[in-house]
Amino acid sequence: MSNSRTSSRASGTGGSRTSKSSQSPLKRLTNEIADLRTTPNDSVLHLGPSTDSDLYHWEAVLKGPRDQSSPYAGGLWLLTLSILSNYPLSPPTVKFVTPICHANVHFQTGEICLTLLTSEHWAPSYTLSSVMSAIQQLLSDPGLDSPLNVDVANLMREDDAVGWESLVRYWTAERRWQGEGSAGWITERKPGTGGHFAHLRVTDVLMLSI
Amino acid sequence: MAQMTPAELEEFQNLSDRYHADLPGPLIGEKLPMDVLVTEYAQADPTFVVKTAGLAATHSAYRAVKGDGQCGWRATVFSYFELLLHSGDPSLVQLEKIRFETFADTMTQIGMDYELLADMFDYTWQLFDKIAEAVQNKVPDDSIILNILNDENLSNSVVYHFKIVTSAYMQLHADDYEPFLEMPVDQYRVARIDPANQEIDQIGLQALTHAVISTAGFGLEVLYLDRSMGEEVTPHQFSHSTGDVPTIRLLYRPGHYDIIYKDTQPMQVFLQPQNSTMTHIEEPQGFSSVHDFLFSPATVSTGQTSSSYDAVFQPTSQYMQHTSYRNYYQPPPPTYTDMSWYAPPPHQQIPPPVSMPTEQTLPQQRSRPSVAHSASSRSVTISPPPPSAPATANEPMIRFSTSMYQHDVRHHQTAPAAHCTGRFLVPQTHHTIIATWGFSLISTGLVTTTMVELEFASAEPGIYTIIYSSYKHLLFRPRSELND
Repeated sequence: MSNSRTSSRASGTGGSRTSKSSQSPLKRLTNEIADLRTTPNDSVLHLGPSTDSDLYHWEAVLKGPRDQSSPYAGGLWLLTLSILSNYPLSPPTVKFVTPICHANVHFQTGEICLTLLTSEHWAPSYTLSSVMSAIQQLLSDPGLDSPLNVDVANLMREDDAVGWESLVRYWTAERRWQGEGSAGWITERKPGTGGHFAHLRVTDVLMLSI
Repeated sequence: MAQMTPAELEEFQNLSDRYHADLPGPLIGEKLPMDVLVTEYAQADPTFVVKTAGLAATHSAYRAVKGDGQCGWRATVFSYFELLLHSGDPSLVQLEKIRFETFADTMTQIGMDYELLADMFDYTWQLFDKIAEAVQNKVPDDSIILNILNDENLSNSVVYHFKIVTSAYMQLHADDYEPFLEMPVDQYRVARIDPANQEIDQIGLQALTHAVISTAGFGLEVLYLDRSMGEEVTPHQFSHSTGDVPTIRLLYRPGHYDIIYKDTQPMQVFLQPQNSTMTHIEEPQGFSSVHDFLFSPATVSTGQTSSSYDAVFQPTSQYMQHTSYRNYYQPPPPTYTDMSWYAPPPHQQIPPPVSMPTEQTLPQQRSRPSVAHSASSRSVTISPPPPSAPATANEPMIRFSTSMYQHDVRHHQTAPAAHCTGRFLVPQTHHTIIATWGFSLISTGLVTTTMVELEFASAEPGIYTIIYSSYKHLLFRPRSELND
């Protein structure tokens, strides 16, 4: 873990400090940003606040799984993360902005069904970065118990691997995120906030076939 | 009724899981007389009514805790701070805060990212500080705790702090808990302890007791208001509390915990000699069933051979009239052996202490410690009497407070890496440390705490481990002097 925060801890245990409820998430989020700089998350192209002035709204560009045999491989999706004032006691609300064809993601709303993101299972030791890793993991390992996209789930339940894979591959390529976030092009971001998009070009998309 | 399809069942289950009643009232209610609870239950299940009425005979008050899905955790956390606030012992509060701070090491040892979580713990430190101030000023006002624990965000942060401490403790003592879980401890922690919004279960409550409650010298008792036979509630001791240690009492009815209080009227306390608990620390016992484990005397995992001081400083039977200090004159809770986390089991990958003080390297005090005792603004200096001397009516007799047994050596404030409990650092060969010494004078009915200076004359620099008997070795003179 980053050494830069060690000093803040020493003072943190020191005793009487005045802080309001609202300060906690900001400090925590600042820490998470600092951690992202030192240990970028490999499962995202980008992860950070949408704007510099509002730490409560983040956006992320999720990469498909590294496993090239996955129909999600090579995909890119834009997601939004909304953080409540009592974060990290409550989970962030994470949604796909880029449509994705996945059993546990609502195709229209982008809502994600992931155990870790429910209030019953969320633990403050998770971070926004670990959430993104978990979502990437979900791409490889969809759960069929509570599908949000029933069509995809049905294809999987009926073991229609060809139908499922072609559908997924189609949407992964067709709706691949095009490189623009609400705060502008991800390529314009400072390095270290999650990765660079500059070296990824159309050739990556062409790897995908339907 | 038509059979529901699995999908429908799932839907209902989801709705049920997500349902949170919008309950009125604060998270922790005011302390109310038992009659109120009896009235509230008048319309309930007849079994409950009978049992609640019986409860009113033995218990004086209760405090409603909001059933927001965390009432068990919150009730225990509140009660812990409440006992600290009313302990009248500033050093105990101080010590408990330091003990919580040292959990940072425990968390780091098991791989938690303490830095990431540390800022959530600020409210716990604030609460400790406010309680310490109140205890110092002798104004134990419950609102100090209520203000923080009734603010949902602050409250949940503090509760989470206790959860993560419990979680770390469980992981460190995984072997003690694993036999009673259906899954490995790390999975159990992730599923049941770590989540911010999970209610405590019995094993969690037991672990919390081991990690925090009994180590502070407190007891924990849960009264189960269930539909079992009989006219009395079923009590379960989560800590092995003998005698009259300050005890957290929870009233459990299926799915919900409230806080309940025993009679707070003055009562006479008869102190028992504690030969067995002081001179023998039990060896780890195997548990034959979950029940034995959950309701056994606290698990014991470290042993320390007794020294002659045990016999010398045992509280003797003493009939005590002064009631308001009854909590301080009791023998040490046997659960103090729970402090096994100070000396982690050998199988844990923990950096070993640099050296262990042996008989030869034990710090020697320069002189008999004299204790300045301030009473009514005049200072009286007394020395501990020869321990074997019988106390007479006119002679002051020193007793050591319960919290004494948790008082370890504390660094001088200016020394680096201050560790009060478990391990402490001796940064240089000649080093003076400050030890907290709590004691009580029965004849005057006063409780006071004093700092005692100890000098390490011969100790090599390094980290030393105290195996929970530090007071025997560090606060008292060498055996030869005692036998004078």
